Amino acid sequence: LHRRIYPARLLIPVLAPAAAAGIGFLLSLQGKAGAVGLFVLAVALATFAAGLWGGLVAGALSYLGLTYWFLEPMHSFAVRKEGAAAVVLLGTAAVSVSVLLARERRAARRAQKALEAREKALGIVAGSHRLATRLSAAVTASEVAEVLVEELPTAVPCDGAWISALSQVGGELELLAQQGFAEVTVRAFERIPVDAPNPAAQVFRDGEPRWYRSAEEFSRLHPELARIYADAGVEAMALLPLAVGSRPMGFVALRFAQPRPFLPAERRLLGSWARQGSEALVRARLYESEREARESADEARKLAARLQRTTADLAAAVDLAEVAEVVVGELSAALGAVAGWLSLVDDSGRMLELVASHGYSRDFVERYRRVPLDAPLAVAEVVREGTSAWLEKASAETEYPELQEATEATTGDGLAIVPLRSAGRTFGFVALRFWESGTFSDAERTLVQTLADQCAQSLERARLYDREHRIALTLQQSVLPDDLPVLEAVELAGRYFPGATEGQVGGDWYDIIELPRGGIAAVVGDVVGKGIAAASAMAQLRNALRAFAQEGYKPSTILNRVNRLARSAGFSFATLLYLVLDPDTGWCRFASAGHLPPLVVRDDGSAWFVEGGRSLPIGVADDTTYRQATLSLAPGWTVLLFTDGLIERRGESLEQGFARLQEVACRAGPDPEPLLDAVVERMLPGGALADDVALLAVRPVAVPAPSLRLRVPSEAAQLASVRRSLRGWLLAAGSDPEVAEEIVLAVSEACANAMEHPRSPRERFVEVEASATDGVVSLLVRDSGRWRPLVSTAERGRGLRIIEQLMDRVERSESDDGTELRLVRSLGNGAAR
Amino acid sequence: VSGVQLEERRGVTVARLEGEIDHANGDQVGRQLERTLEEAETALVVDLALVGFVDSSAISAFFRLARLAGEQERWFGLVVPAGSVVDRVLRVVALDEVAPLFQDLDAAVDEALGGASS
Repeated sequence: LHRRIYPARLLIPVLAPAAAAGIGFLLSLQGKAGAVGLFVLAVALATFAAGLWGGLVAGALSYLGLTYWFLEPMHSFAVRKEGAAAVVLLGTAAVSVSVLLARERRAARRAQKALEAREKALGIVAGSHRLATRLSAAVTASEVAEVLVEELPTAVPCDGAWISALSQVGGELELLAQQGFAEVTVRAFERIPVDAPNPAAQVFRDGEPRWYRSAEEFSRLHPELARIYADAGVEAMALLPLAVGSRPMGFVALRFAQPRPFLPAERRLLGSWARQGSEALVRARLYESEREARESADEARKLAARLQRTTADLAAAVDLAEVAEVVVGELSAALGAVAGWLSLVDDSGRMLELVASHGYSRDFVERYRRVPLDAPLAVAEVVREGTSAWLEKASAETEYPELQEATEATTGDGLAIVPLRSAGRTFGFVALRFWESGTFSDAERTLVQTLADQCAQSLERARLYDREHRIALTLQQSVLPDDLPVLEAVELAGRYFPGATEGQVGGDWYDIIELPRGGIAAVVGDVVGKGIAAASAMAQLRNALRAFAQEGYKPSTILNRVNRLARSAGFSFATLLYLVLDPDTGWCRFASAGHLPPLVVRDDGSAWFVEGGRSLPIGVADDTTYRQATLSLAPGWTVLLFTDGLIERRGESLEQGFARLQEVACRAGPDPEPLLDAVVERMLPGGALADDVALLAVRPVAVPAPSLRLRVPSEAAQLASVRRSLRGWLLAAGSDPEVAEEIVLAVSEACANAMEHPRSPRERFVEVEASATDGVVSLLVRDSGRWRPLVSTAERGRGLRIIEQLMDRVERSESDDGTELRLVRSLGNGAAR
Repeated sequence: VSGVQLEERRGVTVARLEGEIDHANGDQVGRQLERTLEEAETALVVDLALVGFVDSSAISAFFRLARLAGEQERWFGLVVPAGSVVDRVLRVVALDEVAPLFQDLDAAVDEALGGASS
């Protein structure tokens, strides 16, 4: 812009008049007419070269020179002529230079003015430059939006700037950055569905900016939003689209606290900045997706793996709809679709039922919730034919007029409808809507189809799982007793906890069977495997056990038979413990098919595992002969049956598990319900269990045994029958056989004494009474006379000494009615000496 | 209830008892065994393997036999199945301190021959 004065440019105005003067001089030699011509010529040239002022000065000087020449003709012709020419030349040159310099100064002043005018524009240009620089440095879409929000107020001073863009998964416009907007506004418009009747969404859809000069103008155009507008403290507002070519990206909103007009220059400037921002936004989005793709070069594979994993995770806990939700969401996100929708053929096989959608309006979802499979719809056709459809907007409208609605329901043009297939059967479709119309490359088609196929597998698995799970659950529920029987002689408590994958039905169960000849059978078992197979094997085992139990077989025989049945029917391996309890005596017989030993919990704070009676699991070998063992439960003791899920813990040996259970049981005591509560609380961590767990606690209730009363003639021959009766009664009262024998001996001695010692008995009978409470037996041997002194013979005294040695307590009382010997003995093993 | 069956084992008299011995038959069994002891040449083994119950009358008889055997310089021992009720009772009353208890007949006869010859 700085104009320099070059010497060459000065030469032209100097030389041109000089040349003209020279020509004039040569003409003047011809006479006066020539001189006049010379004068005119010089003035003309000077005027041409130096402008009006230069021409006037040159003319005056030339006139003086010529006048001088013509007025003094007598002077030396040559000298006068040359003098005149020199004067003309010098004058002309001097004037020309001065005039030229003046012109240059003027030009410089004008340039300076222009410069200043540009400076203002320059501010904007510099702003544009800064914007471009900052935008190019912004990597992510959010950063781009931040830059725009900061820079836009420098172009047109405003009180707030807002950038929203189409979300990555499509379907809505999400706020990327804003400043100067109220919290309420932010919350209200943070996410705007693309099909919302909102001016911002309209700007996004049609790409036309909106200029609201005042709140009145806005309210007139959008009365429904006037209130929000006023609340937001907005007077004037500008809404500009963010778009690249025909592809809408988002919108810009500028808030002005005062009404104002929007000058054309401002509109142009904002438009230009918005375009710059849009391009940066596209670039940032590309970068983001590129980065995502780079982070996993095998994005599709990773996605598929993620879907598989997600499905596996979800399968146990959630229904098909949620899996479908994930599938549509993930597919849309992965492929950059703006909206997606997934329908499956329903149970009737005649309708397509919408299971999940994303980015579509509620109206659309409602309208397409159920579509007949034979409807003339592209989606139905895809399912019928089993082939995918790739629709451009144009073809969609001509070939599939019904899809116009679907097209209008959302922005975006391309529509891919891909069948969901499994085992050669199409069971649904997934439709994805894209921005770009009709440009599905082969690679894209392959990718969409591949991902859809993988999703189909996940979905099909979820479907099958749903069904299988329902069946397995039903089976399991049919196996586990709803309520344990309420029995007079036995207290029962049972628990079942499913394993970690919630709802994944395991193979553990427990059962209580009332036996036809009295007593009960308690069963705890664990079928190898999970799901429907395990549940059905469990049901069969349970029924087989119940059937054999009704036949009254002993435990080992029952396991032999169940094993043979399992082998011939070919169902799974199982471990189980079958225990028969005679509640009257506390005697248990049990057989274990590879199962964990039962735990006996005593009422004195001790507990022990009862080994023995263990053979191979059910279903392992044909010729397994099952062993049997016994255990004795005193009244008040409990036997706890359990499955391995209770004691198995990661990073812990089985022995540690056993020890922990034993300790917990010792502390909890034998009451079945509190025992199980304590065991569950201490043994099973909160939250998910790795394996399912079945627990069963069985306790013979301390029913006081009916007391025994015998009255026999005082004859030694009766002793044997007294012993027989007493022996039977003691065993029934839960006595250990050895202890029973000791008591029998003591009573037999006492009776012999009662028969032989009395002097003058009133009647020759001996009475025996026996009663048991809390594991202690009291015996009374009574006769109707008085005993002779016992010291008479050493041998006779031996009987009494035996009694004293075998009994815990011996008391003798004599009265007129006779003599009574009271014997007390605990039934526990500990009292033997 | 029980009878006493006698037999000879390598010159040793063996009295085999069966059933239950109590006050009803204890004296009778005792007297029978005393006679047998007298008739025995050197040693008497009383085999209680098939006896399910003994009371103080039997025990007294055994103590008496042990005393008599000492007086008559004859060897006297009993066969009692280990862990049986009878075995426990006899040990409770410390019969094993006056007469040796064996778990089987052959061991008792061996000991009777050894004990008698020494």
